[in-house]
Amino acid sequence: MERIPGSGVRSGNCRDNKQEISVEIFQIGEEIRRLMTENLLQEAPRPETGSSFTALLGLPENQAMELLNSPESYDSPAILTADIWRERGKDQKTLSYPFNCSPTFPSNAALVERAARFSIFAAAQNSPQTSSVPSNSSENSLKLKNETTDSESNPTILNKNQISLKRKERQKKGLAKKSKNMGDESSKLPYVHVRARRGHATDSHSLAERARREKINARMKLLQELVPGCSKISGTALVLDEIINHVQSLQREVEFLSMRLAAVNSRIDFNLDSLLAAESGSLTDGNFPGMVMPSMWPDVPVNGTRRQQHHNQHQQLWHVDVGRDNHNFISQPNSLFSYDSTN
Amino acid sequence: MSAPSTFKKEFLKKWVLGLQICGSSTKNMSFLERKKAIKLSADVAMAYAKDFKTCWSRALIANASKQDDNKILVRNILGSEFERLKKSSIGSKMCNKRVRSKKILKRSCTILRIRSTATRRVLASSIAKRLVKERTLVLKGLVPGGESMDEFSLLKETLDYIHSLRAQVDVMQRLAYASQLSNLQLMNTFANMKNDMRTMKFTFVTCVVGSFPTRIQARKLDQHTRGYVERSNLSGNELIIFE
Repeated sequence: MERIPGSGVRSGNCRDNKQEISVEIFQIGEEIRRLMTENLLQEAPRPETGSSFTALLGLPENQAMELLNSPESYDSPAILTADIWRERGKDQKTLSYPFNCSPTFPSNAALVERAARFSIFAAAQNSPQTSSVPSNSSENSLKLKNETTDSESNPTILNKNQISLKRKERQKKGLAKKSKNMGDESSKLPYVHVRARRGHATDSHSLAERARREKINARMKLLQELVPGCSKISGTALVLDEIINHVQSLQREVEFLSMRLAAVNSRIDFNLDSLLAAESGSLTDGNFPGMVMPSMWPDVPVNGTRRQQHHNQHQQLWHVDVGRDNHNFISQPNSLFSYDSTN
Repeated sequence: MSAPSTFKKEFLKKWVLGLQICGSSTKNMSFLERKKAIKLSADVAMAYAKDFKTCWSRALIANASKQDDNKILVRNILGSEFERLKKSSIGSKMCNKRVRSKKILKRSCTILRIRSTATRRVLASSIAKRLVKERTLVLKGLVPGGESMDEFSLLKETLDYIHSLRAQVDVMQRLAYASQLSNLQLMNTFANMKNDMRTMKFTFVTCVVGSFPTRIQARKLDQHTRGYVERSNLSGNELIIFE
């Protein structure tokens, strides 16, 4: 029964490596925790929307008008809320609930429960944008229903609703004024050749601005196409929100992947000759796993012989030193242990 | 789609080169150091593969070389490119100054305008503008070198940056997957070898790789290797970290 010389040393190394590995595991855990808190903190200082009616700006004009003018119809708030959720919520996992919005309001209790769910939801959301929507929709539905049933936020919601209605009226008036002014300006200059539509001015500054705006809008469209889930969203701020989310998630992914790669390999310059061949092939083919596996096989016996020569093993023993000077993917990160196979 | 795959190939080549340079310098690096080196070389490679045509790639390199310990690494990876980059960055600094002075002028004009129309009620458009402005600020913080860009070029840089980030993530994922697979393969081969060579005496040291995270792979462990896992006090929870 021969034992490999140096097995004692090996077990000693094993103990040290265990400590090292536990330290590494601790470090990994710390890194992960740090990255998680970073994520949460980044979500928090997002700009607050402030006003509820800007969420309504996402709605098409007629629906906003409907909301204003039809306090009696109980259908509209339900449908509108359904629409808002459908617009925003399709791609976001958290917001997709199956929302059976029947035209007639089922009952007071159901409505209040739904509204309560929205408000809970609003609290749970990271992005303030979407939180303004449910609170707004719940406000509207509650106000229009004019219920005295117990909901904790009822009195304050009624006040907020009145303010939001006033703001909407002001906004409408302001827009009307602006368009009129633009129309007047176009008629003043006689030598202008550009045929301006009502609401679009024609002096050089505005033209330049209009061209600039169009360029920016074209770029925004490209970005919308690139970022998944953005094409349905209307409104620059929301699209920018999605873009920011996407960039942040990609950067986080890079961090996690580099962590993972660092964990897998104890040395950075891992054996890539065979892997590169597989990679460059797979990048064009996409036939990834099949190519990697056969390429790894020839390494194994080669390594065995290398180890033998390196350690001057005279017996026919497979001794694979995993970790000290590895030239392939065997790595030592987590646990080293030895075992003797006795017959 | 030839352009993305060539970018990926270029990126991979340069990343591997960078990793080799990193690895040759220090012998035993801790986990965090390794992670930082990997990430740094990945970023530098990404910027290099873009050939420094875009603003963000130059800014990325500039940010990376601000810290002294990274600077040497960056210089080694880039080689002669580094000097060329330094010269071009001086030119871009002048552009930054111009952009900044333009911004100061704009800001003072808007302040005057706002003061004159302070009594006007808040319009939806101004609120929308404020929202958009806040978000562009955030985006400027995210994209490297974004602070000294106007909104229009910021969008273009973002487009490019997202595209290259995606390619980078893709390549890194494939590499990680490949290394996982290869480790699994080797584990399996050792297990097989042990079964075959029962007549020989041998001691071998293997290790449970950190990339053994998925349950499928854990299930593939036969009883002996599972015994090793238990003996080495590596619980399932710790393995799952790497998922």
